[in-house]
Amino acid sequence: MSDGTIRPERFQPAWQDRPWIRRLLAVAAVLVALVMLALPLLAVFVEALRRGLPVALDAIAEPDTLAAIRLTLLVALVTVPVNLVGGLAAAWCIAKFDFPGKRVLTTLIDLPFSVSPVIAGLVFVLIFGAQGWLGPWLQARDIQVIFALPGLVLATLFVTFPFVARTVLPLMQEQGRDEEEAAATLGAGGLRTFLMVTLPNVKWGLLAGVLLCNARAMGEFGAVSVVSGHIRGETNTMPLHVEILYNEYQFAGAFAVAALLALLGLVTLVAKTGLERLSGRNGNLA
Amino acid sequence: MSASAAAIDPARGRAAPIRAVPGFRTSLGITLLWAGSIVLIPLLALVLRPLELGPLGLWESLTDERVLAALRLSFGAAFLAAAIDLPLGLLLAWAIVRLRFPGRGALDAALDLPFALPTAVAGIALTALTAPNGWLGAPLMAMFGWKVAFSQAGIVFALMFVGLPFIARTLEPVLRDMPLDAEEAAATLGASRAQTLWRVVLPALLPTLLTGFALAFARAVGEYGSVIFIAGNMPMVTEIAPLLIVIRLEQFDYAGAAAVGLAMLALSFVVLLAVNLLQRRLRRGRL
Amino acid sequence: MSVDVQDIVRRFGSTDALKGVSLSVREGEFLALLGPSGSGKTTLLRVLAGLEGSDSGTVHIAGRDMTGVPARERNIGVVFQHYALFRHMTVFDNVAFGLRVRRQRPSSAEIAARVRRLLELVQVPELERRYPDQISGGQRQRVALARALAIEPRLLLLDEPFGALDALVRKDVRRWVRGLHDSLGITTILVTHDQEEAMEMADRIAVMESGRIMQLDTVGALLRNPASAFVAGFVGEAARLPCRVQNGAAHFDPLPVPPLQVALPDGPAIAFLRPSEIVARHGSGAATVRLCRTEGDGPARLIVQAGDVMLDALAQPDETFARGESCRLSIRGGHVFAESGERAQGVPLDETVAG
Repeated sequence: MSDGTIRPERFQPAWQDRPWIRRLLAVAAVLVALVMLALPLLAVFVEALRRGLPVALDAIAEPDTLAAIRLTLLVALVTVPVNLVGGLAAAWCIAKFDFPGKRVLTTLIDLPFSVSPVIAGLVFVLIFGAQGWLGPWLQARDIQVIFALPGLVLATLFVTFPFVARTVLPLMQEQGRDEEEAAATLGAGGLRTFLMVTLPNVKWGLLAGVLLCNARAMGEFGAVSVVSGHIRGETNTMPLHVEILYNEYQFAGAFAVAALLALLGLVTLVAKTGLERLSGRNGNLA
Repeated sequence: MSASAAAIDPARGRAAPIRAVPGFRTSLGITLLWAGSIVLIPLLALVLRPLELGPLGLWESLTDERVLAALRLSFGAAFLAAAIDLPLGLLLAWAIVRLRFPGRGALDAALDLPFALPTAVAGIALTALTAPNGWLGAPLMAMFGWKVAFSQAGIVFALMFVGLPFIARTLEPVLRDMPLDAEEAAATLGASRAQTLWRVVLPALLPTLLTGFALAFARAVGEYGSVIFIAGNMPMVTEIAPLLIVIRLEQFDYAGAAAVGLAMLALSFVVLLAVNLLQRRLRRGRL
Repeated sequence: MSVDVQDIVRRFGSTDALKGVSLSVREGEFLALLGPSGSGKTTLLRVLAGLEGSDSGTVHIAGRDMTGVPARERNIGVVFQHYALFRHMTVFDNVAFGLRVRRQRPSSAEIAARVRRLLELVQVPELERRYPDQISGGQRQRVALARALAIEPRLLLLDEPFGALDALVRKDVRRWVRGLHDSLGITTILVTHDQEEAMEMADRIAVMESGRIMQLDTVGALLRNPASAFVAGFVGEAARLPCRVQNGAAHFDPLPVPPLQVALPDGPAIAFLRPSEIVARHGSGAATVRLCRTEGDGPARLIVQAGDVMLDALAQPDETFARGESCRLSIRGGHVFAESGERAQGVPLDETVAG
C-alpha cells in the first residue's frame, strides 16, 4: 500500500499484478507443484526402476503379484457394473423426476465420499464378521464374506458408490426434461426413453464416471484392507500387495507394483481429461 | 401394474401422481435397493453396534487415553494440513487461471495427481521422499534437523498431499468466473492493488476457500492409505484414529471399533456444520 | 377429435396455476389459448398432453376420460416451445422416433417412406441427414411439427411454437401452419401470448388470466363484446382510460376527451377506446398531435397527447396534421366497465352537450 510511487512503464490492466509479482507467483506455484505433486510421482518410478527394469518386471511376474492383479481385476469387474446401474438409475430419477426426499437421496449418494475408507470396511465387518450381526448365521452355513471376495467387493462398492451418479447427474440436470417429455408424447416407454434419448446425451460423461469408478475400485486400500485378511495369493489386491511387500522390505517389488497402479491412475487421468474436452465440444456439435 | 390403478383413483384429493416421463418407479426402486444395501444399512450398523456397550461402556471406550490421542492427532493434523493447503491451493489456482507461463498446462494436469494416485502408492512414495535418506528428508534433516517421515510432521505432509487438489480445484472455477470489472472498479476508485486484493478479491473468494477447506479436511480426517506408511504408528504419538479402528477390529472389539468410527463421523459432522454456518454468515454479511 | 375440459384445478405449492378451467374444443377446430405469461396457458396444455397432473377436474378427449392416462398412451402430438428435438439424432431419426417406439412397429421401409412423406409435407425433405443444431430455427420448427404428426395424432398441441423465430419467418410459418391445419383437419390447440398470432391463426380464442379462462369466443366477438376489462385491454389495440360515470355519461376530465353516453350506474369506471374510435379534427383544443402518419388512401394515423396520456387516434378523413398542432377529439364509441364488472357500449353524446 505504501509503494504508490512505482509507475508502470507500459500499460497494465487494473486486474493484473506487476510483472515481477506475477513472475514470483509463477515460480512459487511451480515450486509447490514440483515438491507436492511431481516429486512423489517421480519417486514411485525411480524407486521401481532403482535396480533396473528386469528386476521390476520380475517382481510383477511373481505368482503372488499376478494373483493380486487377477483379484483386483475381478473385484473391479463386479463392482463397476453394479455402481454403473445403480448410479445411472439414481441420476435419472433425481434429474428427471420430482419426489419427496429427493434432497436426502442426493446427500446420501455423496455420503461415501466423506466417510473414512476404514469405516467403509468396518461397517461390513460389523454385519458379516465373526461377531457381526449375520456372523453366526453365515458361519453355520460355512459362507465366508469377510476375509473373502464378497467382503472385498462390498467394501469397494461402498467407496466407489458415488462416482457414476456424481459425474452423470449434473449432465442430466443440465439437459432438462424437454426431450424426455417429447419422447413420452410420441409414445416411448421408460426404458426406451432412457436408452434412446437420455443415455446418448450423457455418454462421454458416463464413460468418464466409469473410468474414475474403475480407477478407485482397483486402487482402493483402506476399505479392502479391513475386510481382506491379507492372505497372500488369495485375498490380496494390488494395493494390499504393495503394503505386504513394503513391510517385508521388498522395496523394489513394492514400488514395481505401485508403479503399475500409478500408471493406471495416470491413464485414467489422461482419459478423463480427454473425455471432458470431448463432451465439452460435443455439447456444441451434436 | 397397480401403479396405474392408483393414478386413476377419481377421489384423489392431492395432486395426481402423473409423471410426464415414464420409468419413475423402476428407477427409484433400483436406486433405493442400491443405496439401501450398499450405504444405508451398513451405516446403520455403525450407529447401532456401539450401543451394545451401554452408555457407560461407550464413554469408557471413547475416553481411553489412546483413543483420545488418536482422535486428537487425526483431527489436529487434518485441520493443520487443510489450513496449510489453503494458501498453497490458492496459489496454484491463481497461477492456473490468472498467470501465463511455460508449464502452466502441465501444472494444471498434475493438480489431479493426488486424486488419481491410489493412496497406498502415495503413501510409500511420500515415505520414500521424506525418509531420512529421501530426496526431501535428507536435506531437511541436514539443514534444520527436521524429521518428517515417521513423525507427526510426516502425517501432516501426507494429508497436505491428499487435500491440495480439493482446495485448488474448488477455487479454480470460481476464480475463472470472477468478473474482472470489480477489480477495475476498485482501481478507478483509487484502491491500490494490495487493497483491491485484500478488500475485493479475497472476500469474494472466502466462501469458496471455506468450501475447499471443508472438503480437504473431511478427506484428511478419514485418510488411511497415504498416512500409515509415513506415520510410524507409535501409540499415543503417531497413531491415527482409522488405524485404531483396524487395531480394535483385530482384537475382535467390534463395538469399540464402531465407537471410534462413530466418534470420527460425529466430530467431522460438527466441524463441517461449523464451516457451513460460518459460510452462511459470510454470505449474509456480504449481501 | 373433440376435447372437453371440466373444472381443472392445478396447484404448485401454494400457488394455483389453474383455478377451475373448463373448455370445450370442437372436432377439427383451431383454438388459441391466449394470455400473459403466468396465466396458466402452458400448464393447461401440459395437463392436456398428460405431462402434468391435475388436482381435480377431468379431461375428455373424443369422449374418453383421460384421467390417469400417461402421456405416452394419449396419442397427442406436441410441438414444444423450444422444439425439444433429440439433439443426438438426425432429422430423419427424430421424425421416425414415434414410429419406432410403437408397440406394433411398422417395417423399416414403411417408416422410411412415412418419414420422407412427412418431411415433404413440412417442406424440408433435403434435411433428413442433418442434426438439429445444423439447421435453422424455422427448419427445426418444421421438423418438430413433422415429428409430432408422425404418430398420426388426434390432437395437436403447439406451445408457443413461433416464439423462437425471427419476425420475418414467423409470419410465413404461421400462415403455412394454419394452411396445414386446414388440409389435415387435426384439432389443434395453440398456446401463445401474442394476440396478433392468435387472431391470425385461430378459429376461436380462449383468453386466460391468472389460472382462469376469461372468455372463449371468435376474434370478432372478442373485439365486439369483451366480457371483462382484462379481455378488452388484452385483445385488440385499445387505450385504457379511467373515467367517472355520472347521469349516464362517462367523463374523462381532467383529460380533454369528450364524454361517452353509457348505461352504467354512477361511479368510477374504465373505458377502452380503440384508435378507430378516437377521431381528431382541426380546431383549437387542448389535445396536441405528436405524430402523424399517412398510409395509402385511409385516414392518417395519429398519436395525440391529451393531458398526460398518449392516444392512438385517426384523423378526420382528408385532414392532415403537423407535429405539435392542436386538435379537437371526438369519440365514436368504446367499451366501458364499471367497478362491479358491469359492461356497457359507449355511444357518443351530442357534441354540443359535450362542450
